[in-house]
Amino acid sequence: MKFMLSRNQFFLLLFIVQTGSSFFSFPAPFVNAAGRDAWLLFIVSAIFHYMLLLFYERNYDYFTMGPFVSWLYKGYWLFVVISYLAYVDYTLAVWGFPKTPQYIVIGILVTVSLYANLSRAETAINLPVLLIPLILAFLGFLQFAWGDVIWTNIFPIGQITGTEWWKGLLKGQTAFIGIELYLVFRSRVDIKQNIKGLPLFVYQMTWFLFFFFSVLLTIWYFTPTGVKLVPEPLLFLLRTQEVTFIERLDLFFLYIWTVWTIVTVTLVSFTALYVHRQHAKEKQVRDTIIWHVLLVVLPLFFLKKENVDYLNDLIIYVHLVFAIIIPVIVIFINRRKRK
Amino acid sequence: MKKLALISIACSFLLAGCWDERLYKEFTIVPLVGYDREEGELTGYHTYTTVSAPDMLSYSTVVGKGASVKEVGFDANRKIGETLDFSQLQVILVSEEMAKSNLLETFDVLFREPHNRLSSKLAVVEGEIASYMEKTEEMGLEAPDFYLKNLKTAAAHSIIPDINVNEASTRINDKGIDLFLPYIKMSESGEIPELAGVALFSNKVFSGHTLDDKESLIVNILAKQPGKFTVFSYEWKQGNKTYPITVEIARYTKKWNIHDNQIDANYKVKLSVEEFAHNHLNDEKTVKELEQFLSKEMTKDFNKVIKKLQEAKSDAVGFGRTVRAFHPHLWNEGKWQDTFAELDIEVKVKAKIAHSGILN
Amino acid sequence: MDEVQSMDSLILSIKNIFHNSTDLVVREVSWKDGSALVCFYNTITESGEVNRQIEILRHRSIADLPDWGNTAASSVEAFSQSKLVENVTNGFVAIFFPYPNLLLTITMPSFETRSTQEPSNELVIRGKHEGFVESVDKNISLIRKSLGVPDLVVQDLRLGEDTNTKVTYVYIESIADPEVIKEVETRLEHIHASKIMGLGQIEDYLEDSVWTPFPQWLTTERPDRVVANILEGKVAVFMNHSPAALVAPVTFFSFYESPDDFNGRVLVGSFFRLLRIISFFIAVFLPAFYIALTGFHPEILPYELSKKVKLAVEFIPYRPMVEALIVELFIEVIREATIRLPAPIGPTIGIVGGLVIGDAIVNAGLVSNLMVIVVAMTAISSFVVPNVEMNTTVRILRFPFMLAASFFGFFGIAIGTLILFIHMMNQSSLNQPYLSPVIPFDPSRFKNVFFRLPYFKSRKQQQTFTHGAPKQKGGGKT
Repeated sequence: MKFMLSRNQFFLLLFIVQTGSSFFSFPAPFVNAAGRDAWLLFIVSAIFHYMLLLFYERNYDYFTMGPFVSWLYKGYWLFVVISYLAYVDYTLAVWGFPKTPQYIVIGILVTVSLYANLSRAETAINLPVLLIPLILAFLGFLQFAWGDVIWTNIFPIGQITGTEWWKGLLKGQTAFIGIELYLVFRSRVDIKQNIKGLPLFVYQMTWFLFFFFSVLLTIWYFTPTGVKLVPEPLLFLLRTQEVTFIERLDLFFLYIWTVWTIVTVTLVSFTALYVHRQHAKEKQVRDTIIWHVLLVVLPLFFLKKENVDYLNDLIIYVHLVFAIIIPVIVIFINRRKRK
Repeated sequence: MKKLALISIACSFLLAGCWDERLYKEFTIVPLVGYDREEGELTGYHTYTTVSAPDMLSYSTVVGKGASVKEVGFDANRKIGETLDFSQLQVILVSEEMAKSNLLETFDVLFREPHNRLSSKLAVVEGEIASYMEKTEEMGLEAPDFYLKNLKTAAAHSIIPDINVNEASTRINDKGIDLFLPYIKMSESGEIPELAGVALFSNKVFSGHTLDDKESLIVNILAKQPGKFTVFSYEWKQGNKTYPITVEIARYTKKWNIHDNQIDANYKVKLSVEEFAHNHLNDEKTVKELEQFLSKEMTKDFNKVIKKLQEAKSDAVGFGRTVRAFHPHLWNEGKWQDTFAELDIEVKVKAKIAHSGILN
Repeated sequence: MDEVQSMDSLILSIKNIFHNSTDLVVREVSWKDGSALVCFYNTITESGEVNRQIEILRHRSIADLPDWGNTAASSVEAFSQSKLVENVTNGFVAIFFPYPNLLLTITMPSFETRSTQEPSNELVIRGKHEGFVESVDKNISLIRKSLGVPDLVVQDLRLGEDTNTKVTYVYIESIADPEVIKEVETRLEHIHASKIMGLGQIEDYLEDSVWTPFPQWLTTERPDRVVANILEGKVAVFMNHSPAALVAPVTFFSFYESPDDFNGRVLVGSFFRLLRIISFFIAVFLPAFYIALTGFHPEILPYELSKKVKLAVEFIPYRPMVEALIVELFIEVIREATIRLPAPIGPTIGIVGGLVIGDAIVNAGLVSNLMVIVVAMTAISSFVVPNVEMNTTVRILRFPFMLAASFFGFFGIAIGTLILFIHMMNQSSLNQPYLSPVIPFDPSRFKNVFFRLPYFKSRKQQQTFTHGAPKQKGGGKT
């Protein structure tokens, strides 16, 4: 698979993967863990995110995957995709499809990813473009909530405790998941286009503002008791908005979010298969199909509420291993070797 | 063979529909419900629509009994043999008795079921709920439309707060503010329900105290949540003649100074005069006098309302939100509603006439 | 042919070649040094004009001019039977000199053609009111008229053993991508069919993918459209006796452009461009949306509207999907019928079908009045596309969406949209991305898609699926 990315394509892909499933599932656990000062915590977390990006940008050349590391990553991505699929399927079952057999819903979701991954590489890469108008609409409709926010909710500032810091920082990692794709695709970016410096900072700020806005809105809109009851605060928030021409905006955005998640699943699958093809050049179609069969079968074991929550907790720790520890080790070893 | 199988599967879908299909024609819309509680048992009155002729909707009411909202609904379903659908619920009426329990717990189903909307209006009614559910001749409209229209108009005139189920839940969950809901009474002739003011809640439940419409307007001003039109009328004495003066609030600012056990609430109000037969509003002296008069009257009225709120232990204005955010020591003194009742709150209104209408 | 053969037997043998067609004229005419045979079809060649040309040539031959046979209208070559047949069937006049064994051809066919009226299926308000006709020569002349440049290249070849049809392709050498030209040439040369009946048949051979609903060649009968497109580096393919041209490589969005956009004012042009793209969404999604609404998500209706919908659907015996299919079928039948109907009674049947039956079907309670509104809106929206082929595509596209909506509501529509999007991204027109600038994603090109910009800058087609890759190389199908 030979392809090249423009700067726009690269950042769009990264943004969609990072926001994909987590932008609905992120605010509630994060605010619950960190309390009123979650927004402060998120700023700290964002600085960490930027440092991680800078570290990646400096060292992406050294990040090469041997078969062993590549298998580790494939396992990780399989895990990520399965936890996303289990989550989206659980949510869909609760909201719209309580009686539909769940394997059918998952089957439909995965079929889309299979179709995209059997097409040209460029098809998967450019799939996020579809989401741009939808994300803009989403942000637009969230603005309706300004009338209902309670500004005083973020005060008093600075009452966060040590354990909350720790828990919050961990939960904040949910917004990071997918950042490792930077290392995978960075070398594919057009050499003529500059990434270092301003473009990277712009990306960081887009990512930051997007999540920061969602965290801030959650704190402002909900009382601490309220946010504990609602697993997807932003969806609930849209549910309460009254727009003249239509009721129940949440239903639209539930399905927009579904599309968003499918695109994320497609992109992560694409990454896994791309990495796989670097050392297994034959029978690519067969491997693609096997991967997607796994995607249909495995999530079916995790469809209960407690399982979904467990996966959402677990994924943070697994992510830390694969976004920080392994890249650092690989880069360190490769730097030594090249010297 | 393969094609044939595919086609037959597709056709069977066409005939049967899917697992989670909810055909609209199979449901009965319920735009208005009323609930009463007696000795732990819930009685629900549902106004539902039926299509009697191809182009006419008619409304009827069915009563259900049970332990929960859902059970009441099922009971009603059984009685009329149709499936009531609450997704178009517009107005929920609750009796005073019912309002004395935590509404959030009672209406859990509204939040938990994805089909239900949270924009329905809530109101408390006095006495037996059954009489409110019936369409009387004086209503003119069908009962659901009557309530919806009345509540909307009243909210636009700042007489009642614009509170729907979601806003109510936010207030019930928030310790720093208390809920207050529209309060509906039967008119003296007993023919038509009237908006009588608001019912004050204290710490999640109805306190038993109510305010009349003029007082509830002041609460809305105090909380800085006015509707579109906010109008005050006073009688102004000049010599031995009295002139009625009606002013509308154009804009205003509030400033709360919170000290230990004392709150000074200052309101600077800019008014536009709507009625004032005395005229001469181009005369600076008259304007000064008028402003002083209005400031005094309004301050008096506002303070009266605060006293009433304190009696009811109901912080409908939301002083508690600011206190919680900026004055933790005061907040931590105890339960906020108790602290609030004991606080020394003094409202000062400074009126200023900004527009005099198109006459002098 | 044997030299000893007498003129009479020669005439007979030539007549035999053409199976004694009665419109074939084979006559002996006397020439300076002996007689010659004139041979043509009098149905496609003007006899009087033939006389005049022969007279000119005779004078030239008497004057003994060198190369007297070669003039602007005639040429001389060695005789062969196949040449004779080819020339005569194409409407030329063949003059056979048996003794030098030469064949003189006078190019003067007079096929009946229409005048170059504006095509009735591609009307514009401002702009040229000319259209192609059923003659490739006239069509090319219409293009040459607009493009007085030597760079305009016209190439032709003949296809179909039985029909011997002339196919012509036109491009501008300095702008067109040589690899695209080469691709067109190869594809045209690989057509092995005994009969070439129409342009649609050629289109099938030239397309990248036949099974997609999306046309990959823009069919147009407007010279100005072809000119604008070949100025952007595209190739236009003509077929003799067909009043249309095929243009490629195109993108999906170019089907939504009309010459009117560029002749009108900037704001107006942009507005109508946007309107067309919105109408695409209405045409594809509206019936599906309505089905999802009444079958899955009635709660999104505002209260006032919900009462109306409730009234409309209460007594309908069918499920929304079936109801929609009834009306859709009905409208498609009316549309198909009005095309075939003679012009005087067409509108009458349209009114009877549309108004009378439409009203009756609602009153009878077979379908709801809202469904009639939805389907009628959809039908009208689908006709906004300034291209007949894309219009049919759009009309077909909505059926899968209706089906998906009746199975899974909004979820079905969302999944359908994704699949449609992936499908469109996979398409190519002459190996170039069909859904450019979405693939490869290039935000700076989007303004050209949604707005008619104030200057008409000829822009090149996006050539590859991969950002920045050398053309034709990247993005191999996996």
